[in-house]
Amino acid sequence: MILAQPDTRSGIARVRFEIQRIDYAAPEASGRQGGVQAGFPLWIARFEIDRIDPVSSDEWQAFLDRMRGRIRRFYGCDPTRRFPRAYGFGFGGLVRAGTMTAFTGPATSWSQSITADGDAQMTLNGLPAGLVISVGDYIGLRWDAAGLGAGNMQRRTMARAVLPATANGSGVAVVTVEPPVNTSLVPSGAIAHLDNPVCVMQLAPEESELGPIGAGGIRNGGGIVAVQDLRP
Amino acid sequence: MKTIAPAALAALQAGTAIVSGAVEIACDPVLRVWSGWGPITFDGRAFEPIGDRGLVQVVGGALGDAAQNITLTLSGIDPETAALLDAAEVAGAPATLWRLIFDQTGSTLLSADVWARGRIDTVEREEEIGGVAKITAQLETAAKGIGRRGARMRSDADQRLIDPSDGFFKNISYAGEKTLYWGGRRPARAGSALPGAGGGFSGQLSDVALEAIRLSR
Repeated sequence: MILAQPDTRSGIARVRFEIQRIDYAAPEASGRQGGVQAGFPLWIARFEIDRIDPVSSDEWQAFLDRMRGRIRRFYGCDPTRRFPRAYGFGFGGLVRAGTMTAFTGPATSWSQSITADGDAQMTLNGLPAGLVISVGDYIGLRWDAAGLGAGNMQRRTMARAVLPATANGSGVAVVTVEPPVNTSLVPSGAIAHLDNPVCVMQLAPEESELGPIGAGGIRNGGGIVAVQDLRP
Repeated sequence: MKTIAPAALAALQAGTAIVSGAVEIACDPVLRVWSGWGPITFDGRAFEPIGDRGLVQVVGGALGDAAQNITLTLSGIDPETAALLDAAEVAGAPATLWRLIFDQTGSTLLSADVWARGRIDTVEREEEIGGVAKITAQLETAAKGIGRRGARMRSDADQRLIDPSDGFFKNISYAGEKTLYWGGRRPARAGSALPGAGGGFSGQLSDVALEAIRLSR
């Protein structure tokens, strides 16, 4: 069972979504920082909550209770960027290029190529003509977990745009993203989408804590740390 | 001698390499895991992912120093690795380590080289309440195992036991550690500029060398 991230009235005050990379450094006397990277990057998230109202407080408490420590997973998302920056309230009124079909977020197909400089460029097809993807927008990928029913879409990861991009007249956008999508892990049939991109995350219980509740049920903040659980 | 593909060497040179490891332990059933997130196949073998970024990175060794075991630390709860505890014929099972070098996007495998071959010596399980669950496997390479009383040395004498004409280690007397004066006070005498650089043999004799001396008497 994968839980949803609580969407409370008080919201999340501050969030930090970053790509966790681990380096083995081998600095040299010349000043050059040699080294290699160990393994592959993951998303790591830190949510900070300020003083929150009693209802939101209960929802966060219930969320942590239901997570059962490290047992369960949740769909972690960046609450500041559930949609691309230029379309903060959704894609209302947009249609896929060359059609009258309403655009709701998923691209019809995607692919990734690596430039000579090592940049990962995702090509998204079937977007509205002229759709703007800003720096920091997320591109989600979802696909079926093996062994569960078709259409379960329980595998999620995402990539973040690091350069702006605009879809051309036929609805194709080429977006430079980080981290590069691991194409040996993410199947080519995965769905790339711009609406509500999430990744499956696991709580780090020893670093997650909600503050005490005071008079009137006001909770005195809290912090939640989670790490991506990436599986084929 | 390890032959690393030119593309991987170029990535190491440029500092863009992503390095991970793979291990095969030929117990029954055969355990094949690697440190990535998805299954991978190379050398005709399919490896299961365990997502352990630190797998097979702890390999010690110094010129002129004794050969060391290789310590494999595996998660104690991954179904793939926990199978190691129940597998038959673990003791002395042949094990092979690969070091995998990927490009900076992590999607192209540039080189998969056998890093070490050996046999499993001990497998320890550690489960600490409030701590971690892990399996620690000790891997003996040929330099240390095969019933040797002591360890092989990366020394000239030891190398010439393998091939009398092989002088690869001839300039190595023992693990060299020199203190260089980098600024600061100048050494009073030339002799103290490089401590331990006095003439003659100053390292310890290895067990193998001692054995060779004993046999020649």
